[in-house]
Amino acid sequence: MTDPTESPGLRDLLDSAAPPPALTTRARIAAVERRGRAARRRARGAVAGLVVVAGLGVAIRALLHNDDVPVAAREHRTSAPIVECPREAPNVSGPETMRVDLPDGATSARLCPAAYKGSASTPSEPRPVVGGIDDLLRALRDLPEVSNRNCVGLLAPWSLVIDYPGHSPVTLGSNSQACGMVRINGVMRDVPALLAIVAQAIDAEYADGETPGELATHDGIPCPQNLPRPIQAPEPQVAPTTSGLESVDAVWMCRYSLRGPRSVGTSSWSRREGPTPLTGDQRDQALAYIATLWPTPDRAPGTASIDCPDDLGPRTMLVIASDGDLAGIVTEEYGCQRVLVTAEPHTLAPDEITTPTGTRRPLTSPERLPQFLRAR
Amino acid sequence: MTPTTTAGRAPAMTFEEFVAARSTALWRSAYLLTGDAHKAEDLLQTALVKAWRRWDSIARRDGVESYVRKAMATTYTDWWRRRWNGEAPSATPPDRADESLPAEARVDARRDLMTALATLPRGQRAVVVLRYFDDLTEQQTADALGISTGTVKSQASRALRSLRAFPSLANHLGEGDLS
Repeated sequence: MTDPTESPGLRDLLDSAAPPPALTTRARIAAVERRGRAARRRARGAVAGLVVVAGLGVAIRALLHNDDVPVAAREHRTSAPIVECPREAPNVSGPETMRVDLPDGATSARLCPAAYKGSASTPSEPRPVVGGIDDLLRALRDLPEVSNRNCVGLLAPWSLVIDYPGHSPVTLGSNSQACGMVRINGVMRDVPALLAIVAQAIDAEYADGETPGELATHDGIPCPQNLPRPIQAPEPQVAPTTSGLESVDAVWMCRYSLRGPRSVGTSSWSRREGPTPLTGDQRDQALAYIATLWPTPDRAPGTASIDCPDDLGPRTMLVIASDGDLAGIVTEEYGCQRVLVTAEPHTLAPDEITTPTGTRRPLTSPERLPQFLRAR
Repeated sequence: MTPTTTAGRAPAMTFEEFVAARSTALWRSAYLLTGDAHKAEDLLQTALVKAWRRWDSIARRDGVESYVRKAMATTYTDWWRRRWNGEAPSATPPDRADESLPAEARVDARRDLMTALATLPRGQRAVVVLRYFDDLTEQQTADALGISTGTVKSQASRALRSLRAFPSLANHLGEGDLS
């Protein structure tokens, strides 16, 4: 433990600045399990892609076999009739005037803008919660009771319409920007917390179905055909260490050669080998080398800078996949043998990182990652 | 499906029990790391998903919470987590009672603190949260972030120096906190 006398004011300030979460435990567990199953499916997809690349010709369908089920719920979300948004948010003048009951049995819910002129066929139609509707209503009913003094400030006008088959839809909301509360099943609930839960439900409903991971976005191909050019890219994040590699699902290796006239802006690094999946000991060894990467130390003052021409080639890129996300580690086989990184191998040029002190440095590999890759 | 524990051992905490017992504290840490309620929930859920997928093996050890804290910290600091690039702190943190200060001063202090935290590099911010909010030792902080205790000390020192640059924050913290 830290010495409690060391920074009591800082600790108190941190404590006062961290509010309690809006989501209930039950809703969080449900969301985590949904995401866990989706991650498992993506990992299976990565493995299947790896098998395709290796050309082994095994039964991919078996690898993709899924016992987790949520597909049926997702299919019915597109075929079931979904209640339309109201044209305007409810006209509410005070917190006590909005009272609703939310029993089980709803088929969909939709968070709507304050003023709405679209129809069910409008492409920008707010996306409904269908598959997760029971969890959503349970979470809303579980919201803790609040009182007026918990008011956090102004809200944007909003409406939430919930469809019950055979009955009129239930609409919650307010066209006012007053401090938000709504009475659900006889208990006052906090509107910001309610909106957070609805947003979570929408995210969970569509997270794995309509937002493919980076690997899927690129048709399962981990390495780009050409390395992206170093245009004005976002600054890479600070890298105190390359940790967290235990959740990597797959590793590939690709080799690139410089193609085209070697004048500024006309040549490009084109893939000449790979993607080659690294498996077993090779995969473990590659990840162990990656874990040793560290920013190259700053030059000692007064020492000459080293010219590192980037056209000595070739370059090798290791691509790692984790939960559908990709990252690339590029090594130069000659020249300065820099190790560069990219958080988006298909779109961001491999680059140096920004160190905790704010300087930009390439990475270095004490364990000689480039030599390991050259031997593969 | 809920991961189950291995038969023949003392019953370990279930995933649901762990989330019920610890997720509020973990969410508040995530909020201080990200400065945003939605990002905090996403960060916590991302870490919990990792734990959920490996629950059988980690629940047998006594380090479930440290596993989740480490997953949160590394997800937050790793350069290769694309979804965590482009952090933008929320302008105003939600209200929370602290009766020892006038209401206006409470809001100012919280806003200044979140603003100050947002200026720190991620590694320094993680050290501040783990050391001074989660109350971890230097060694525990080093383990969570995968860095040395020396780096923890230097990161903490730099972070506190940066916080000191906010006069209003220094007023709330007092001299002793930032020395």
